[in-house]
Amino acid sequence: MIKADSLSKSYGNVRALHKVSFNIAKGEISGILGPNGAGKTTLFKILTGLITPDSGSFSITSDKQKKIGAIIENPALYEYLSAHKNLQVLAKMQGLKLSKDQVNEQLTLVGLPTNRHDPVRNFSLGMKQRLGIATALLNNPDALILDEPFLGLDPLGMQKLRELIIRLAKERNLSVLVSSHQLEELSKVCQNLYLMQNGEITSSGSTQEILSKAAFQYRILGINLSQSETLKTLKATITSNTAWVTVARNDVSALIQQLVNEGVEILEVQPETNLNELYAQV
Amino acid sequence: MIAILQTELVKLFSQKRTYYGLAAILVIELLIMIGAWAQGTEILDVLLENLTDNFIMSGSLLNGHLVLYIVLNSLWFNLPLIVMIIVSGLLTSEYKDKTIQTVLLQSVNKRNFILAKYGVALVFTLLVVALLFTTASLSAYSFFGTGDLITYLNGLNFFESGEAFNRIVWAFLLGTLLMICYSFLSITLAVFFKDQTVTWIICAFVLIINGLLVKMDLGFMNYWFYSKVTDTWQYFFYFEVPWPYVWHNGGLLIFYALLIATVGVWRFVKKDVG
Repeated sequence: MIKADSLSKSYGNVRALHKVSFNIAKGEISGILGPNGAGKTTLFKILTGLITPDSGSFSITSDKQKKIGAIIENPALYEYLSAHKNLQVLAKMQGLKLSKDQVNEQLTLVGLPTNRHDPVRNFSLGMKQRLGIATALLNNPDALILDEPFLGLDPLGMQKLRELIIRLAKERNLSVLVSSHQLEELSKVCQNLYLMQNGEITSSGSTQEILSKAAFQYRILGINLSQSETLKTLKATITSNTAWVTVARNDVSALIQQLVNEGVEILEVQPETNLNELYAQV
Repeated sequence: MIAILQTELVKLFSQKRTYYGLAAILVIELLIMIGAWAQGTEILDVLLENLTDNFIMSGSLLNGHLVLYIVLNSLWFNLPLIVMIIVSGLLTSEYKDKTIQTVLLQSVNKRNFILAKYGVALVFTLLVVALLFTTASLSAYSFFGTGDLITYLNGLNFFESGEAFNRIVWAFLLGTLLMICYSFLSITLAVFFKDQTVTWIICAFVLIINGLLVKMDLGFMNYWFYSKVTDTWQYFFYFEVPWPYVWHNGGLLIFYALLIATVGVWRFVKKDVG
């Protein structure tokens, strides 16, 4: 369990973090959503002991030697060493002796090939993210912090990383805290979300609650959309097979039913978020 | 602590820059040898024209001892610069690549981590000086043989071959202490400045300032100031070795090395990494 109580940090006159509090239970994945400069990285650096808060406190319930594993900003690895060597070096530094099989096990856990012995500078960003998670998981911590893990990943890379995070939280009963400025990605992995702006948590709740505040319009992919009178009445923007319409969350089911009744063949309905409006709303 | 030191050595010898630095030392050494071979005899003949008419010199004056003496003179400026660049890179590269965060996100003690950096700096410095001494003496004695050594410090000094070798070994030992000081200083500078280029510039600046201060009369500070003890290795090429000064300055160099490392460790442990 990760518990933060009123954490604050300033750099000179700049307030980076102001009275931030939250709880993350074991096995729970929570997300921190906020624009660049919101204070997410500062918060993570405090939780991992890299910097000290000006006031407030935090605790991580764990009896392990290493309580928390983390990737802050980017997965920083020894680019001139292989993935195996990176894990061995970082393990040895904390007194762990990993056998070759244990290193392979760790690599397999995060979905990396065990037969790559070239320097990690040749790895893709997605592979580096996975290796970063493998280094964070060394010494079996009870909590995991991932700062912007989806940044720069392609859709397939994002999907694999999502699956990995969910699997780790479930199998290892980890408390996981993930930050991003992409609501869509966070909503796919997190049970709870915290909105952060200007160093403060401005809103929090279950992912569904936050999503309901954020979904201002829906993108409908289908056939015969231009024939729909309902969409015209709602002043939807319609292209050949896509329509964007603004309706209340509770009215989405009725809308879909009406469109089906009008002979529209619906292929996909996707909520689209406008983070600026979400931040403004909270 | 030992485990961290071992991993630091693995990191040091897995980086290309380490080998470029070692290669640079060997290239400088080679250039000195070529210079001595090409012009050494001619210059010595001009300098000693009158003396050789009145004294009998044992063997050629352009010999391995003299070449080693020239190597010592030339490399006590170039060598620290190379050592400081490589050693400071042990820490600045961690800041640049942010691997220092990755390390400190593990259960690694900050104090042990930085102490290991000083440890590996010590090991590397000893290795570099040993490499320099071994390669320089092997090549110098192989190509130029042995003979009496002539130096010009407060006048001309002549040393018989056997004594010359002893004095060169002593000079290398004292020089090693100086190198350790510079090496530790480069880590401490890296702790303060973090940036690779800035640290390198400050290292070069320190060496240049040192070169200027060593020639200035600083009054009573001559006895205590760091810059004034950096040329102690040269005392071994005076006719009479001023042993009290040698011991004093040697002790002072050890004191400075420990002081510099203590300041670096204190600062690193105290300051946030992020």
